[in-house]
Formats: sequence, C-alpha cells, structure tokens
Amino acid sequence: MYLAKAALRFLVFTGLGILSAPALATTVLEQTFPDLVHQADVIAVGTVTGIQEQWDAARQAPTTHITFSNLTVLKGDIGGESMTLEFLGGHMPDGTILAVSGVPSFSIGEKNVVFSAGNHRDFCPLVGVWQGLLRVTFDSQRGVETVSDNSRMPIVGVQDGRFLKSEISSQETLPLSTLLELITQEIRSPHGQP
Amino acid sequence: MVSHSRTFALHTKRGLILLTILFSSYALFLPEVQAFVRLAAGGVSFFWSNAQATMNLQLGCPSQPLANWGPCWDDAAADALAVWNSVAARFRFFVSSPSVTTSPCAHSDGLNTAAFQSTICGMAFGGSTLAITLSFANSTGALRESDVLFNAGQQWSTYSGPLLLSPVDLHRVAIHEFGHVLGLDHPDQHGQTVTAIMNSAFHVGDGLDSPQADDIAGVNTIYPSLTSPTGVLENPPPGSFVSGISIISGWKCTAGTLTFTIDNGPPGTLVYGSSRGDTPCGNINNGFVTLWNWNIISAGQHTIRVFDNGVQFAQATFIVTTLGQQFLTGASGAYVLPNFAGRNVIVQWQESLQNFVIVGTQ
Repeated sequence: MYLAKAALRFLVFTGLGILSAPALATTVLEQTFPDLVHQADVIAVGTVTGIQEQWDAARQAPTTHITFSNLTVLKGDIGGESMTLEFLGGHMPDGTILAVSGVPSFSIGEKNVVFSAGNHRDFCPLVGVWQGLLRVTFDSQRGVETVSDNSRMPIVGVQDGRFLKSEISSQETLPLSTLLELITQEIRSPHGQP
Repeated sequence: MVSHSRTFALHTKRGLILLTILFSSYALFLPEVQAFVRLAAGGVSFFWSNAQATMNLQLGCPSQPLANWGPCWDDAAADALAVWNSVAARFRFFVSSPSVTTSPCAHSDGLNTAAFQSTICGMAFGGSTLAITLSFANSTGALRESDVLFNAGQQWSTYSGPLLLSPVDLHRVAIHEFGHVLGLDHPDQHGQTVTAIMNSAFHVGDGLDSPQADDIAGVNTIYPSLTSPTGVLENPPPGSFVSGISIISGWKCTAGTLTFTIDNGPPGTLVYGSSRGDTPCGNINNGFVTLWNWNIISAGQHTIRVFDNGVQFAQATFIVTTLGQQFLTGASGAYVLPNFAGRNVIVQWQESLQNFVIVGTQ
C-alpha cells in the first residue's frame, strides 16, 4: 500500500474532499488498482501521436484509432515502437457522428498511462473503460510528472487497492514515477495480495 | 457556479449549551452545484431538434414477472422514460407502440432501440460494462438515432433502494442510459462533483435511483420550457432534509385526484384547492397539501412522486432524519443557535411537530 500521508492528513483535517473510487458504475463495474494491473494485457505510458478514424464495414460502425508513441511498457508485448488502440465511435461515411458514452477522448501530444485489454475486440480497449486511462501532466513547481484520472482529478495515492483522489491541486499529487513503481510491485504480486 | 456547505448543530441536554459542528467535507456532503454536462463530440453538443424521442423497447420479459415496474423489462424501461418525462419541462420520451422488431445495430433505421445484446454490434462489452448508449448525430449535433444496449451477460432485476452488485437494477440503469439518449453526459467524468443519476459511478448500497436536481437542470437547460410549468412539488424540494411532522405541498393549475407515493409505496392522498394566488396558473385555488410524519419512514434517502389522476407530474429525492421513534413523547429542551442571521436564535422542542421551532431571539 502506498499513501501520500502528508497529503492525506492535510485533506482530512481541512475537511476537503478525498473521493474514494466508486464501487459500481451505472454502465461499468468498478476496477480496483489490482484489477487494472492484472486485467490489463498491456500497461504502458505513452504520448498520443496519432488519431485516425476508420469505417468498419463489417460492423457498420466507425472506429477511432489512437496511436501512442514514446512508450514505456510495463506489461505485455506491443510488438513495436508504437501502440494503436481501437475505440468504437467516430464519423460515419455520411458524416454522422457516433458518440459512445463513457469512452475517453484524446488529443495529440497528451501523455497517458493506459491499462489496455481487449484491443480490436472490446468497444473500448481499456480496463473498465475510462478507468483504464490516467492522464500525466508536468508539475512545474515540483519539477515532476504527476498523475490524474481520466476526468483530470488528481490522484494523491493508492489505499486499500483504490485510487485516492482530490479536487484540489495539491503538491502531493502522485508522481508518475511512484505510480510506475506501484504498478511494477503489483505486477509481481498475486491478484488481491499486494 | 454556486456552491455552499451546510451547517448542523448538535445540542447537549443542558439548555443553552451548544455545540456546532461544521461539516464541509466533500466526503460527507457533496456541494450543490449545477454541473451537468452535455453529451458532445468534436465540440458539438447533442440534442433532439424537436425535443422528443420515441424509444423502441425490445427488452422483452423475464421468465418470472418483475416484482417492480413489471411484469416485463419493457415496462420497467417505459417507467424509466416516464421518470424523465415527469421532471422535464419540455422534452418528452414516447414509446413506440407496437414496438418494431429490429436490431439496435441497424444504425440507419431511424429507430431508437433499447435491447439486451451479447455484444455491441460485434464488439465485446468488456468485463465490466453493463449498458451502453450509442448516439448518432449530424454535424450540428442534432440527433437522428440513439440506441441503448444492455449487457445480456449481466444478471438483472428491478428494485428501488440500495444498489446491489448483482443483480443490477435495470430501472435505474435505464434512467441513466436514457439520460444519455436525451443528451446528457457524465458530470463526474468532466471534473464535476455533484449528486447526479448521470454520474458514471454509484456506490454499491447507494439509494440513488432517480434524476437529481442537477440532472433535472440538465434536461431543462438543453430543452428549456417554452411555457410556464403547470404543476410543481415545492415541499419537500429536491435534495432537501426533512424531519418530524411537516407538509407535502405544491401547486397545480388544474387537477383531478392528486396522490403521492414515497419510494413507490402505497399512494397517499393530497388535498387540492388551497389558496395559491402567487402561481402562474391564472386561478387561485390551485395549491395541494397534506400533513406527513416523516418518522414513519426510515431514515435516509427517499423519493416522493406526485400524480394527477395516476399520471406523475413531479418528484423529488430527499433525506429523512429521525430520532428513532414514530412519535417521541416526553422530551423537552430549548437551545441557542448563536449568530444566525446576526442574532442568537432560541429553538425549543415541540412535540406536536416532532421538531424544533424558533421561540425567541437574542
């Protein structure tokens, strides 16, 4: 278990929000940190370098292909220097937009941690849909890269298998390097036995 | 964006000794902000240009009739649509009758189909997805079709109250998905913290099973009313706290028999015709009211629905606090609330109301 203790104390005693991970989503079951690690086929940190829509004639649906480069792969074999994930959604041949609730959006140049599973099989190749995507930003004050969830809520630690999140931009936001250590530790651990 | 915290006062048995505890923790009380988010893609927000959508319900029936909103899955889904209709000022869901046998993956049939599916048009749900909404819109955001796919591999049921991990309550999931159909997205996936049925996440054990104030604000912002409302439940308001004995009240411009239910329980009767000249109705005797002892229902979150001749026109979700008895007798006490609105306020227990009343100021 890792916990940014100073941040936790600060948040508790100021009464400000530590939001534990949900137990169940209306559309998606909660994935704990061990779930994310152990259910992922691939865990990687990378920068979005390509976004391309394609029409899937067999499924009669558009898909959007997100390419990640500059990869640090912690789990799995991506078979190359880049990785492309396929998401349901995009433009149809007649210009109609297909939007799928819950599927994350991406921008060129953003850096993410992805817990991927079921690429080219599932409608969203992330464990737990949006839960399998973490955003990486650079904290210029601390000089470190830090991690937030898909909605850009800062992650301040991992406790009891769940991400601790905060609405305030604390100096104690979890560094990317620490998260990668936690992932590496979890990969070595039996599922549920961190 | 407006937010506020709530102040609660706890009192010792000795009069005039007061302990005020300020809770401002997000972990305990979510800030009340208007945080709804519209479904969008490519910078374009989605909407139905005629403020209505007709759903083609293809969910069928379970082997055993449903205990709630049944007997069929389609009945529960139809009720979920009616829930949105009851809180939307202008937007209206309609149900295709008879339903049309079609696949929700026939994306160009113009039918808004809701059905159980084993895949999402050939792609897997993944290990954790219960239901999904596919929304099709043109470049202006005008929706032309929206299909809802429920994971056929999931155990489903219908019930109100605390959410179970399995079976999952289809009724509230349908309310959530139909919220996507009308054009709402997940506020909590866009950095918002608000109580909403449209949040992507519920806790197991949560009783949240109906649109909340933020959800209602969302649908009524996308589809603002072109006319004044014709009926409103004013007490209890959405998101409020109630205790003791108080009134259920509101107004309706014209009405037949007005009734209410709490958590879909047995209906109670509302007295209609009290004087309310302050409403936009153009008549005077349009108020409705009844007296209600909140102690007879359990502490916690509940939902009241109000009906006119059996047709729901209003609802609110609120939180009940009790002292553990249906009617507390023999208790007494007076206490000071310091510095409320610039003065000290004296409150005293009043048994007949099962509540505290203001008896003086200092």
